[in-house]
Amino acid sequence: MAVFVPTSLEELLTARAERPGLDLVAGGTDLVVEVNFGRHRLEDVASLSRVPELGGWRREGPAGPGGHLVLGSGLTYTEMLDPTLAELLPSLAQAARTVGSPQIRNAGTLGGNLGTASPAGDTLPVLAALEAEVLLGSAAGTRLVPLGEFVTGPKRTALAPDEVILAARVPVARGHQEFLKVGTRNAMVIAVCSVALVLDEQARQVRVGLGSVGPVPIRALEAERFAAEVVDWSTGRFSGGEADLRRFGELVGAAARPIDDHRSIASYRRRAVEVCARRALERTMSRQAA
Amino acid sequence: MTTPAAGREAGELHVVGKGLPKVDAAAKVTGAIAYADDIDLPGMLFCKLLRSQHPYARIVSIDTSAARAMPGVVAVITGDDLPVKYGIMPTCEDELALEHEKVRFVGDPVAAVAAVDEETALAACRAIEVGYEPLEAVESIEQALVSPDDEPIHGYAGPANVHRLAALEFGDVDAGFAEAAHVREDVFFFEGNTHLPMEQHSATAQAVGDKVTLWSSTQDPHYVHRALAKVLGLPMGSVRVVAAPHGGGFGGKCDPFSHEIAVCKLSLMTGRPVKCTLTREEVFYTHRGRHPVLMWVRTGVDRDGRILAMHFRSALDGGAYGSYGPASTLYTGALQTTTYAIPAYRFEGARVFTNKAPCGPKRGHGTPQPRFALEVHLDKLAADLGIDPVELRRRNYVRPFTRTVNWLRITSCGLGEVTDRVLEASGYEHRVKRPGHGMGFAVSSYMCGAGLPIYWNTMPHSECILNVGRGGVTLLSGATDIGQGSDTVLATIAAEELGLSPGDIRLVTGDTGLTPVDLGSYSSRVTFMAGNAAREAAARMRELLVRAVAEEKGCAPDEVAVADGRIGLIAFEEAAALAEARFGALSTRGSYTPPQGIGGRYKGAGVGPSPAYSYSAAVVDLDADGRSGEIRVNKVWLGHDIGRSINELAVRGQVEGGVYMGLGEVLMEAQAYRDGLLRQPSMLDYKSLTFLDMPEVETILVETLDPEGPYGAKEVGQGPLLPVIPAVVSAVHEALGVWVDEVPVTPDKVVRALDARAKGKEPRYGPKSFPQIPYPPLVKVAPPDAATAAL
Amino acid sequence: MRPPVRREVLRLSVNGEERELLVRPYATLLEVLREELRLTGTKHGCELGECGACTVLVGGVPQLSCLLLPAQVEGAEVTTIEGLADGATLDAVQRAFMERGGLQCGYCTPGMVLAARALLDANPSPTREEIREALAGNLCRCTGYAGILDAVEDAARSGR
Repeated sequence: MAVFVPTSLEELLTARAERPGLDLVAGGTDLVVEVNFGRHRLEDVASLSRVPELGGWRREGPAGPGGHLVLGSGLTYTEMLDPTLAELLPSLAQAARTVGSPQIRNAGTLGGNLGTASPAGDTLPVLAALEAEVLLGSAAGTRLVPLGEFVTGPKRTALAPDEVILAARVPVARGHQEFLKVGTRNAMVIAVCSVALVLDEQARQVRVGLGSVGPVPIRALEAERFAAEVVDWSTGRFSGGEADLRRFGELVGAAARPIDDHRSIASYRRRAVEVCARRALERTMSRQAA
Repeated sequence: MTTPAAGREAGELHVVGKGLPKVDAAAKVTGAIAYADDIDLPGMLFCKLLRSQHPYARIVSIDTSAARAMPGVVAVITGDDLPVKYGIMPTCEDELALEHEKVRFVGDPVAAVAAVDEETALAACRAIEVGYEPLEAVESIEQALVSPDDEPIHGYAGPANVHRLAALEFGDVDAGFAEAAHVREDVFFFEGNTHLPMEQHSATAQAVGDKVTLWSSTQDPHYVHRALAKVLGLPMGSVRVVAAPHGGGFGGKCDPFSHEIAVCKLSLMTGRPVKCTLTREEVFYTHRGRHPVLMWVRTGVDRDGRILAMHFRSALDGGAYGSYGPASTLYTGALQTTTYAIPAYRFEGARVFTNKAPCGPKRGHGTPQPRFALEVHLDKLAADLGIDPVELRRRNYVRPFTRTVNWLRITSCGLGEVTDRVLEASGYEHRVKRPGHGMGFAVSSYMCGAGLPIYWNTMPHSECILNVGRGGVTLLSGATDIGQGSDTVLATIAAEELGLSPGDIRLVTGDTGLTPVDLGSYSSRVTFMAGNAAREAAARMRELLVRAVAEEKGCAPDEVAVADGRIGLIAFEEAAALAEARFGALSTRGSYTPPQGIGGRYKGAGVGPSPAYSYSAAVVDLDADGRSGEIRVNKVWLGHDIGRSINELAVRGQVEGGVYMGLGEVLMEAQAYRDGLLRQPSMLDYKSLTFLDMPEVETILVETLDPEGPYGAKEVGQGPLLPVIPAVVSAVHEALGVWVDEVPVTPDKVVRALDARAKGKEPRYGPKSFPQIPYPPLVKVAPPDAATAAL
Repeated sequence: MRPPVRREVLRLSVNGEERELLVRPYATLLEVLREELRLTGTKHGCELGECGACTVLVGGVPQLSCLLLPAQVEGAEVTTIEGLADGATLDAVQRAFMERGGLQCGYCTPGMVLAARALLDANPSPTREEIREALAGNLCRCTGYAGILDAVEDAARSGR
């Protein structure tokens, strides 16, 4: 085996084309864990850390609604906390802040979170609520895949053996965003459940992404429709009451498909996702009203 | 020679009680200190153990031929090479370094390989073919009580898979209950948890001829020494065990372990040094941690809440081997009486074998579980009677210098004072109650070393030798610094006696080949026992130095002051030269043996007695979410009767560390099983508190100057953990109005208790009942008479 | 039979020294530091990125050496605990850990000290909450973190 350290995207895509399935390592926070644990044996591996095209983020199209943000797959969690980006995508920043530890955030990347596609991947419910698409590239060209089609199952994706995750492309939305996660401690914790809530004032939508309560990130569509009806879109104010908050929580809970595993039990996951959803809506509305 | 009692007043002490940096701090902040796995000897081989993946199975065949044939593999051993059984307790020597008849838990070692590198050793382990015939695994206490279809886990115990039973009664319990104005019963469960030391166990052996030296991350080199000599069939003099600088123990490195024995055997066979470092996953299997304990307690009180009788039952899930089990079992019943004056007390305990990683001693050994049950039970009892829970406790507090109903001798006791101080500091009595917020209070007590050794003998428990010569001052002690700061304590004590600074004392510790014995770093014994031995040795040296100077100067010895690097008016080195010229080689010794008569004389009386007890009180302040069940601890106040601080910085560190570990156990830590498999053999899923989970701790030290402790000192390593757990449970109850009678108190349990209340059921989560256990007939012990009870 | 392991030439800059090494390509930086360079101050606690004991600074940024392939840090400056002191003069963080009881068994200390140093380089006057955030990836089982918190505050006050 050997470690390649390509310094351009072209070099990387060529290597991946020549050796389909070539292991890719960015921050190593998933792959090297598997290797150290003896669950994965590295053959040849390409390091993504020096491919400039994968780093950073940029705007595409208009700055406001209608425009997009293109987040490089090499964007680290620490970089997601950068104030400029955090202002544009506060829910992503909130999710990034809950990932691992400072050391993990310095190393781990958006592309890694997508590529691993763990049901507990912290950015995934956010990307779901943002209606992100995943930009994939190979020597043959690029393609854009909606998140829901990219993540095909727990730790399974639509990435082809000759492809590399280039970026996530996220439509710009105007409105408040929230990310809430329940874990068993306050750092280095895998979500028992997580909820991302994105208010899109332009589209008059409340979008909700759920993590760790199903094999893939889940959109709570029923709850979204319900929430959109209790927002007075002319003022952006929440026009409902306690009963509506409860109903919203219940609908989110109903969308969840939690299981019992070694980290929690299904009944608690459903309860927690309800509480988080309700809290996210409460916070969103108190901010909007303020 | 006897050392003076509590000793000089604080003002007369020069280094004792100060918050000086630990003597090994510089080596630790620079990374210079070499822990066991940092040892690298020329020609060293690497060892890996092949472990069972079956919880319970008969071994029908082991074929090591493929492994032996692999390039780089130097030696392979199996149970046939190490057929002698061992175990820390003489009454249950039920372990083999490598099992060859059957495996009893996932992780039970069956073979060991020495190879040129770890990778090769690991590959060779995978190449070993073991034929297993699976047996039906025993997964719970309830299951262990029923006669198995297959053979019991061990042949020496029983009935069914019961390992050990105990039944004791002190005083007339039935009469006490008959007289009681109120009787209450409760059932509790404490889930097991593990030590999670930051350092994985590691051991390196080097054999030369038929002699072998082992460097190991161990808390008690002496017991490892004994086990090695026994299993290897070597005289004690041919085995030397050195406790390497230690990366955390908490009780988890107190047993002799397979990897320690295997590397010695492999080194003896190959003539090369052999190292074995466990992976984190293996550390979880090695375990010997907190027992899961199911408990039932019944207490009768008079109208004023004074305890008239108590009946306490425990059932411990011991896992696959004996380990410290008989002691663990008795500890679940022994120390209820050291905080509360219980006039009539009955204890029935049982430990069972299950096919899980073996349990053993963890910080507080066998006492955090009953302490949790007892304190929460008293809260409920207080509520029944409408008495303030603190007041109810105060009415029952033990008094200093008394003897308990189970014959434990209580000396200094600051229980009342630690209570006053934490209540005052926390404002507990003036708190304004509001939903979602709670404060809880609890107390506890712990031993300053076990009064009896693990194997019967009449030799000292701690010995020290102090040498003064042209190379300086060297203290030799078998004690093992596991991070708790025992090296600092010993150096401080020697320095105090000799008028030096702790940094002036060179330490040679934890080396069975060089140092006189110390039984080990367990049961919070080192400050008290090794400290007294060091003080005796140093006082004797001081006497020699003073005599030499007095004779030189023609003055009386009591005119010679010892302080600030001077003996009288002359420098220490010069005084040492005078003394060496007069007396020859300067070497003094000190020994400590716990006094006789500090416990009873009944069977089972060996567990509980200690030359002194520390006392702690805790107040916990927390917020709890009535929807999600999440708990946020805001602050903990911990009052601790330390007797006297030898090094205040180290004492505070032990208190804070104890509070931390108690919070971890009550909020999240669990060595739990799912479908027969350990749920979380990794540090990600075995949750411990991070920096962001740890609240502020206010430590309040109370000095009661114990008459027998060195300078009056008592323990601090284990006691402060104990009251934190029930105080959290109590605070959660105050915040949400529900009882969670099962530790850890995780959000899902809180939610289930809230749901029960919402449905009009008992607002509680916890075990419903206590199983029928075939306890033996009670051993009835007459309590001490009034004259004996008042010391 | 396993195939022979190919080795790669690696150029690392560790504690200001340029080193050329022949290593197994899939060895982690942690293994290279400890086993090849014998810089054993960097500790292993979990090998899975869960404990912070193996923290080193890469270009001044705290990283987990157990999750890095050494090829990824070629060209960057790696600082381990052995490289923190200025000769015999300890760093302010090291001194503060000694004086404030920031360590007990000492096993987490190298990683903890380096993470604290990186914090103070980026933020010379952190609040207690910022210290907690910055060190949340470093587990300690002995101290309850209190002594460490006090030590980092002290080090911040005293400067480098």
